Amino acid sequence: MATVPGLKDPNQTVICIPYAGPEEDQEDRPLQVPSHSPYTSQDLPDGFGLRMEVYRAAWKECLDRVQSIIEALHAPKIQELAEEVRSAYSPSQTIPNLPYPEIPTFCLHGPAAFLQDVTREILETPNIAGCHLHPSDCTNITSAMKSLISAFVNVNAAETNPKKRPALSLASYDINMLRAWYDHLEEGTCTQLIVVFHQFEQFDSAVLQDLFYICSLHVPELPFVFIFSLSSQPSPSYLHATYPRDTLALLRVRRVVAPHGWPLAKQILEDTFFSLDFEPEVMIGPAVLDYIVDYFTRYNQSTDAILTILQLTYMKHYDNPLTFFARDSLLGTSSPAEAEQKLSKPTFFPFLDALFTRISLPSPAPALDPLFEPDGEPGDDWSDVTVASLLASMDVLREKYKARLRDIKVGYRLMNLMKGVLVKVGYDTSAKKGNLEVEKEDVELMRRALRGRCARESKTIGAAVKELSAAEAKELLSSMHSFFQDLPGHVRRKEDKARVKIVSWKSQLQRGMEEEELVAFLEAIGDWVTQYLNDRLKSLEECKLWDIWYTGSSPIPSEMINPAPRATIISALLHPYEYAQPDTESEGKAPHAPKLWELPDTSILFRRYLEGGKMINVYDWYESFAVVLESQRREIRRERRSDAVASRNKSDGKGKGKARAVEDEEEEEEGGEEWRMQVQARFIRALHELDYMGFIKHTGRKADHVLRTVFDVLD
Amino acid sequence: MADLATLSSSYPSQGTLIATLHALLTATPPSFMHITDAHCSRLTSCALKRLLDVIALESDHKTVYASASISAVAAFTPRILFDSILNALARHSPTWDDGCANWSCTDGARYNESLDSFIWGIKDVHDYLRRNRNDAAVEVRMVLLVERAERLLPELMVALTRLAELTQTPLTTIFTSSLPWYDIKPPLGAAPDPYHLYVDPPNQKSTLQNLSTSLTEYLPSGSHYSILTRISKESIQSLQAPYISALHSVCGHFVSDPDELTYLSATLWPAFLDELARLATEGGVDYEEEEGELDITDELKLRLLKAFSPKFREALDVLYPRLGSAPASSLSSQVPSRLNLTRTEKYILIASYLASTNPTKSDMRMLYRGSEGGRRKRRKSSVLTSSRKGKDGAAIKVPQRLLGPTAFPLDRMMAILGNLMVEHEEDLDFGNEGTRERAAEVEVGRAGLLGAITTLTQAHLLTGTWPTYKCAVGYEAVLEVARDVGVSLGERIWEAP
Repeated sequence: MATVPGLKDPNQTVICIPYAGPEEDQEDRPLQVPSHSPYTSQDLPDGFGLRMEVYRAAWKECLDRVQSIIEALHAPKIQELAEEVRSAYSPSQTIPNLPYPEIPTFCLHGPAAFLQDVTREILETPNIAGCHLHPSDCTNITSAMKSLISAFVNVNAAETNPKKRPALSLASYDINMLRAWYDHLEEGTCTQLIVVFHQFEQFDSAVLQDLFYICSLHVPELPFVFIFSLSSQPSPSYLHATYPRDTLALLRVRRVVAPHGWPLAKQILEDTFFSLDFEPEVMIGPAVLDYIVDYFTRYNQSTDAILTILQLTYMKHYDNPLTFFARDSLLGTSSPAEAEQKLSKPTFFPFLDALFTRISLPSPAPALDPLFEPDGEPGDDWSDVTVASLLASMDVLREKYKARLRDIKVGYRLMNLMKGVLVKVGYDTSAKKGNLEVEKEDVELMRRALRGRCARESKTIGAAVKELSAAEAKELLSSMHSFFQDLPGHVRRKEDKARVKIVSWKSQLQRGMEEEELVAFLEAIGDWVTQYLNDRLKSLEECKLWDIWYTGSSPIPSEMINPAPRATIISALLHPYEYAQPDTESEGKAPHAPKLWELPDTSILFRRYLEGGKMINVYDWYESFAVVLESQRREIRRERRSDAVASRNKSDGKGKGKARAVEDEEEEEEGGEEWRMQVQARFIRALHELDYMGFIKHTGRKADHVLRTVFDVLD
Repeated sequence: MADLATLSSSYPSQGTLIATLHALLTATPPSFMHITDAHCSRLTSCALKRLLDVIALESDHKTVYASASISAVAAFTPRILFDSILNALARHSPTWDDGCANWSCTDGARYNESLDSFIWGIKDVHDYLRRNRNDAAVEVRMVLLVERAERLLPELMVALTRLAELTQTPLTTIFTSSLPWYDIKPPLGAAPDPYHLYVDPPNQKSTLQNLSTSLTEYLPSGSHYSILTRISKESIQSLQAPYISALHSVCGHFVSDPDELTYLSATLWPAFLDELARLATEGGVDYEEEEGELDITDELKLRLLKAFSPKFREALDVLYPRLGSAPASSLSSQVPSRLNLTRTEKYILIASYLASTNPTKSDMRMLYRGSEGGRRKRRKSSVLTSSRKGKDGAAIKVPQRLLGPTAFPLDRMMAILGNLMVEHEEDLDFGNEGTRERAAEVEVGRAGLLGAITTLTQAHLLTGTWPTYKCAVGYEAVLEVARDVGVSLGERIWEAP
């Protein structure tokens, strides 16, 4: 357990804890949990480790990309803000004639990374002293003042103040000390004292009110500048809700909001997954985009939410055994020959078999797909196939997939560009409802592009092109031209035909043409655009083995991001086997509802609990529990008698607890004292488990009674 | 005495207080005084500090005045209080090079350990001040001013009120507070009764005077309009009086604190000048063409005030609660107009508003959509109920909406929420009739939703702690939110307006 990286890191949103086998001393091992993965039989022996490696590399690449996008978006805001902070006391920022000087204050609404960048940028400036306050520093006013003052004074002053005698001089939490320190500095060495309040919502507001008041008594002799870091939304404002007016009156608050919401989400998704110069190893599918849109509107509009969802998608994606082909076909070795050797071992045969079957299957929609030439298609003749050729054909497939993905990206980008130009010249290409959620629409468009369902859009665009005037057409063509011109090298070569076409159109238009000529000309362009976009925007699922690189419509395991704990616990108590043995039904066993006596103790007790009233008499509860256990014992004994050899295994296989195993030994003794003790012990254990989960409330009102906390459970 | 006169004129509403206090302190100072000022305590403290400075200047060969003024909030430990008082009385300011050493009459004497040593410290200061004059006959009078005395550490309150008696020195303690003495006095009559002084609330005349004295800098440094530099200072100054009286006539009804009015006038003044420049440039060719200094005509003055007067009200709405801050050029854009909430938060807000206003017994009728499909439409029309009741002669019940929110248990809100979501969220798949309730319960118990409740509590849109909450948002705001998610609020409220 100690080797899990990042477990102690509070900044990690998701941590992967590899399964390390059952713990040795686990006394309670009733339900043998088989692996949930449907792929186990097809996996490589070291498949898990390999995929973990590939996953880490792929996720790191994606994460770095997203972070660089966010950084780039933050950069201009940070610059602007740093400039304002530096000039906080300059005459252009302050207002003359105020009754008393205010403390310049900046409220940063955004993630912690944003604040870090801001403070780094600001504190790098010479002549500025900075200090960080955390909620734990400010439990009361004395410690708050102490941390504030010592942060400034101790930076460079430790050596310059040898004469200090603690008892005879100012207290270390006395602001006059800071004043004395500031006064002794030479003019201009320190023009601002910046105080950064981290996690502002967590501060005790009463302490901060006093702190602000005390600081304001010494402004502007001590040129304080406050920076609050808030994680909440600017509206409703936490600051105004929590602090009284007379405290707010001491501050000159300026709000700064980090880029957030739909514009940010759109930018991240577009530049990570639809960028022409970045090819992430895993392409997210429409189902993930759907979930992001849903989660974003419903619960949490932060970048962390997107990152978490993406990371989880990646993790889940690499559950598929084939996915270690995502990057290359080396299987964790250093050369194709070694990979071939590795794969030729007998233990790898089930995997090879599965892979070969997948490759030999006909492509999902070959007729629609001009990219798949029939020759060179792997698996034409199964007798020719060697391990090497299999690996080589994986490489071919990977290249094909990449080419297809590039097509989609080019199509999507071009469509967006044309839409932009058309909107600019006054054509409405889609029925947008208000300006508020334009970006949300764009994310929807991404989703449709991935599904290959953009025929309507491309048709609208084509139709709109046909109605353009000559000047507008010129504008459109020139922006299309520069789009193709700016494509990265390898993509541009492929799109050369389109580029040449546009160049020739452009020159035709430049030469000028008659009215009728123009109509025909635009007609041709419009048709071409529709055709071109339709060619480009086709579903990725038409590629062979797409599931290695593309998550497709496999749903995101949303329960992990947004679980429903209460409902889950209750339903787990009601139907424990559905949780512990998820694939019983797939194995062909008749799905039978287990009888009450077949359930684990806690579930039995919980069922009895649900039948009780508002208050439960513990003794009655115990009695009813004992009845069930009695019947359980009888049933098991009967089973054992009928099948002396198999009964033990069977009862274990059904997953009765250790209690059952223990019971087996003692069963011979007729229900004596021992049995009663056992029932009592099991009752108490189950009771405590329910208590631990919060189903019981103890009240002193009635002896031997406990209060129910859950009612009306819907089964 | 000239100083005293200027002091009184710059603090017009404190004029009486200044005169009284000056007379008392220079003649026969009482040992303990309490000044109550509920209206503009900051101004009063400033005035008192200035007064003490003035009195200190009046020291002559017979009497020496020394004073210390501290804020009780800043003196949050006894040690800070003792240090600041002694340093101020001895006119000693600790310097960094000196190791921030406190004042002491002999090297190594320590006065900040306990109340006892502090009292010795006061005696030493007294001796020290007297010795400084080399005149045995000189009389030393010390004044200790404590602002916001209601926040004074309780264990020190009695000692400070009796400081003259404890130290046997001519020392006057003055407390100022926005609360009257009987609200803050220590129990059991431990403190002596003070000499009471009150500050009158500011009247119109004094406020106007205050405003005009504070507006001293006429030209903002960073104005966009070059034309302003061509208008003579005198003519801009002549705008001051009408500007201030217009401001006072609009805002004076709502805000009486002179500080706040000064703040408003200072923040609006640059915008006012910009407006002047705009009117002057667009107003006529003659302004443009003329060289040299410009004059402001009466007509322009009137137009300016007329054009600007709506701004006062607008600025008051934003600046007084400090929703935005100066510079005032873009006030309205600074205030985030609507609540920025996620969809879940909106639903929670609606559900908690309903839980806070509807009576518990009405939940089933108002919200439950039973298995027979469609909500039961047995809602009583609010108009009918109230009029019928009125006819019967029984007391008309005031709608809960007007009485304020009631607290509700979390479970009830969740139940309402579940029903709202089943009915209005088409995107979520609640399945068919049979599984719908269960699906809704799962949906309502999601971690994201429970987290949203915490977020709303933190934003003070809900108040209370688990498991009972109250909705802290009014009808209008909820109505807007409900419109966003497509819930018709009117149908859900028991006593719809």
